[in-house]
Amino acid sequence: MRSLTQRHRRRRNYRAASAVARIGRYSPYGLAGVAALILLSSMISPALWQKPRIGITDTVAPLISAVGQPFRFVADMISGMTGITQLRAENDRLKAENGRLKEWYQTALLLKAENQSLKDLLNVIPEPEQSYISTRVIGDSGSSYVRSLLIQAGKEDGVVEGQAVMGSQGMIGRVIEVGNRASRILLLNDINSHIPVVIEGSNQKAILAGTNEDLLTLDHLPQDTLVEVGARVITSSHGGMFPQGLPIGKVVKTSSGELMVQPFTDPSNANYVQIIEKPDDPNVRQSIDVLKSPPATQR
Amino acid sequence: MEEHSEAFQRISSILRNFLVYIFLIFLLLFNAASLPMFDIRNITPYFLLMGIYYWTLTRPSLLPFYLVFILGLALDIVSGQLLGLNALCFLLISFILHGQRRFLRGQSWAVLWAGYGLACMVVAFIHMLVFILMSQSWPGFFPLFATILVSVLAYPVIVMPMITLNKFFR
Repeated sequence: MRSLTQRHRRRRNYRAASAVARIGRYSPYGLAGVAALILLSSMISPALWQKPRIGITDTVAPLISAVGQPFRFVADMISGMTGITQLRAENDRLKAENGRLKEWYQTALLLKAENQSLKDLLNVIPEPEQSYISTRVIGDSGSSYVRSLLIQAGKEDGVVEGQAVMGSQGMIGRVIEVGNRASRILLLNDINSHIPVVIEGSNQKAILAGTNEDLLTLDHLPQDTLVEVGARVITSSHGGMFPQGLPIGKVVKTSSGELMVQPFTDPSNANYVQIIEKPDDPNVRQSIDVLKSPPATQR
Repeated sequence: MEEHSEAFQRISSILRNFLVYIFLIFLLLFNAASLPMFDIRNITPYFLLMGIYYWTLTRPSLLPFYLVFILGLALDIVSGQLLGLNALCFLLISFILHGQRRFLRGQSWAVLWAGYGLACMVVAFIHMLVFILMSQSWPGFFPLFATILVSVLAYPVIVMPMITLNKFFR
């Protein structure tokens, strides 16, 4: 009787094992099919997987940050040790630059006062004050074909999808995914990046598109437009995407004679970024501020 | 006494497997993290591929296809790449390695290293193909070659702890 039970058990185990082996034999094809389907769906509609993606990234973000911490520490130490001579040269350069900037500061104050008095005369509705969220870059795409960064700030810090992201000297991208504690930035040089810009001087509007390379292209630029090499390219407030006038880069001419834009800040090498908070409508923000402010005590 | 030793063996086996998976998760995080020393102009070695390549060759039972799929998908999620791209690439590499395992097992270290280089080329080629499909333009070839080169050069450094870990299995 006992041996019969054992035989039954052994037969059952054998059947189960062979079923697992059968599934195991066909699983790579099935899994590859599932992977191909997921890939196809994310190629057709990237927004389809956005919610689960940012949810998981949000959870993993502290781990990504912790893994990168020792490397950042060592890199900082190395640059600190090797950079003493560079620091001395940079100090001299900064001293000279500071002298020049002091003169510019006085000019800027004069222009600001003049600008303000003219605005008052014309009764111009003032632009809302811009505020910034400064945060550290904790991750990147790790791929040559996707230019994005992961930052350590999310909804809890006031980050909203679509906000402009600035590097040390100019805009580097925009927020595309927002989690509670982490967000993803699409860099200007990514092939999917298209933003409205204005070329200073000619005041010509265009769309700045990423090429996956260092230089960016200007799309929808009329052929007869005269664009000077060296002209600054700034954000346009068209479509309400970004505030007007954020510096992006300057126009350069390539060896093939094509006009392209060189960003002021290399987006790929940013360690810290600033996210620009901008209310959609100044009146709405004003109403929110009024609601938020503590009620006046009645006597 | 025999029961005790069996239990001990089982616990130590679970612990060793656990260490392998922890190491793979570390490689996954390395791929997604911003590492100033490796990350030069968006050129990051294929860290996770090193782990998948090594463990598929040495301990395939530890890395079944569904785990390779999950790891690939996890990398796609945390790195912000197209979902399913790395999952598909890693499954393909794992499938090829399962087929060529007998041939590769007896080979020298240099051949295995070259094999990893080939795996990198396959992954880079698929990434490039998808990029061309998506953007309908030719990508620059420098980042492609640089990524393969950096991955191949980083392989011995990353594989060393895995060899040490593998010795615990014996």
